[in-house]
Amino acid sequence: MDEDEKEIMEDNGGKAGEPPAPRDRGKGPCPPLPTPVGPKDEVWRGRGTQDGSCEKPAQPGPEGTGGGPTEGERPKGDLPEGQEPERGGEPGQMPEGGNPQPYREGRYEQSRRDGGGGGRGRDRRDGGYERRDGGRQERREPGRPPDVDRQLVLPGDDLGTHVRGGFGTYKDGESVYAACLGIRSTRDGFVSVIPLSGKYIPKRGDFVVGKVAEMTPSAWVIDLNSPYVAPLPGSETPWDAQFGEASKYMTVGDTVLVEIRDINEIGRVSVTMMGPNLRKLEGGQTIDVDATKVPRLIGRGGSMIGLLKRLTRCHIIVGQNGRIWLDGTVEDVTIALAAIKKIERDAHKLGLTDAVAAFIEGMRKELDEKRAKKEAGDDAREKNAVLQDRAERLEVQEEE
Amino acid sequence: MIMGGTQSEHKLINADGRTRYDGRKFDELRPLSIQAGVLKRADGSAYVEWGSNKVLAAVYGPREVHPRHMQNSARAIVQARYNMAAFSVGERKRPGPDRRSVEISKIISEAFTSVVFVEQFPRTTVDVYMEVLQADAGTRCAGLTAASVALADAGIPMRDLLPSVASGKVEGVVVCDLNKDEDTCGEADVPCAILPRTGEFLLLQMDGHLTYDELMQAMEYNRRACKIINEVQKEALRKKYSIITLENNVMKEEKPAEGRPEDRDQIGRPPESRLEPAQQGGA
Repeated sequence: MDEDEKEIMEDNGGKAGEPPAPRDRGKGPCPPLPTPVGPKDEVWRGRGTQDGSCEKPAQPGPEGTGGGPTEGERPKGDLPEGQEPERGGEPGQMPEGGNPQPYREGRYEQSRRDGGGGGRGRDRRDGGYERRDGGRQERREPGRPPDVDRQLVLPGDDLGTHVRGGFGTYKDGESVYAACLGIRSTRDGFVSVIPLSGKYIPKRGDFVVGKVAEMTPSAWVIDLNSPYVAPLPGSETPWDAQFGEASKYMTVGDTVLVEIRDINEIGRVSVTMMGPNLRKLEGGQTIDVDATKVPRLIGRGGSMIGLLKRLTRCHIIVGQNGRIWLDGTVEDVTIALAAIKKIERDAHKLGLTDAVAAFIEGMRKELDEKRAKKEAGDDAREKNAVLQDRAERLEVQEEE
Repeated sequence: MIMGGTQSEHKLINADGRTRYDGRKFDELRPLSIQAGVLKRADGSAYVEWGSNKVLAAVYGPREVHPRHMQNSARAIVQARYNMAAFSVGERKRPGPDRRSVEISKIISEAFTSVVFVEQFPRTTVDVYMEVLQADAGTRCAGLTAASVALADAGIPMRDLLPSVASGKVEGVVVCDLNKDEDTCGEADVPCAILPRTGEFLLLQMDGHLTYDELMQAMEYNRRACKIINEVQKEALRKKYSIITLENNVMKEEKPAEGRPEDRDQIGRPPESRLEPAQQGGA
């Protein structure tokens, strides 16, 4: 167990040619600390490579490794895992201006080129991310004390007169007012409110983990953990399903990774499975969290999710809709679930990445100890059994 | 039910002509406390204690509308359900919706329909449940006040928090926030829900007889009281969510909740001990 972990860390260190993972972990989680520009670059480079290293091993045969539940390979093997950090990473990277290029050399670029309309997808993704995380990025401006302007606003609060209203606001007369309960954020001349609670409303370009809720002979109805469900017609799947064959490929209850293709003004959502990494998610299990906590779960530049995957050795896919799919050994998944719940509960806390790392390590240690104890018990019992057996045999011999 | 035994005739207004039998001034509210986010399963929730009223509100949604034919392809619908528990009043209340609670549910859902941004969630419903656990007059206002906090807690976009209060006429005097005795023995009752920012009336009912001037007076009382109630609502939400902005900043720790925040709800007056008999009298 520990060896595996070490191995992974070494991997990171080696590939990155950078200070090893522990440093990253120490540094990564507290982005709001006011760092001068220089050091920040370092941080970012570190984080980029950290993620990259998670990615790299996957390249040879990502689907292949995905199938085999080998412990060591686990965190590296999964494909769309990368997708999340990317999404988090890209927009985070850009405004930073620090070090944009090294971050996503790998599959993401490639997949974007591969997948038709990839460029389009990327724009959308950025947009989607920024909407939810705008304020946090804004807070990272160099030299600015962190979180001082993290102001809670309630519906109806005045956000100012000479501003343009963004998400979560409305205008009445001269002033812009908050429409939601959330954190006020100013960005690019727009004042918006980052909601702290609320349902997931599908947004074009979002990757979501859906569940098959209903079936027709040629289409599936996907539950998106949202007020709206989406039909998934056979034509939007990679399969060439004939009429009446839908159940061959997916049935009610199956989990799928889909992309929101569009949502119209009356809330009709269309989703697609055509695209890189979009697929039916075999095995594993899902957990639903609050959709507003998803950016936190992914972390800046994918730091949180990268850490989760590395330390829990699970496949994890986070949908923008707050549904998380994970797969791994029972123990790993148990740890991952507990960690995710912790993140959801403590989403507002600073330094969460550190806390989660400590939490996971603590939990793993505990489980290891428990198992060691149990194994020791088993050993003792076995030994006893053997001894008894031998004794019996001796007795028999003696009798003879 | 009515008052302590000291007074022989049932006077609801004290002899000094400035206070009511429970010690409140004419424009004074009963003690009000609100707690946001009390239920785990609901998307948003709130609990209100207002005098002897105890109301629990839960909000779900936006979510799919069932039955399907009720959905509106242009906007969300707001479905409110006001319900009194069987044990909420002195005599056991027959459970289930009756004429009164159906009416209240309807007006509350209409009030919220105009405060929630329903256009943002076409074909969905926002369900608002209000359970009156203990009733002491003004439960529709308490329910509405609680539900509004619950809506904000659920992260539903809305124009403003919606406070609500009832004024009425008791022994010829217009007074604010009637309690049970004033409500039953009084001459009139005017519940209102008023948007604090714009002063728009989203709910206005009247039961009984009032002159024009008295009605204006009652509405003025309500308008001023709603501002105060709105502050309590905001504070309830801040209390739940402020850790998000304050924790870790070591700026300050939120003061631990004092059981009953008596000083919040007075109309421009400091807390006074003579509120205590009011509670005893009501209970």
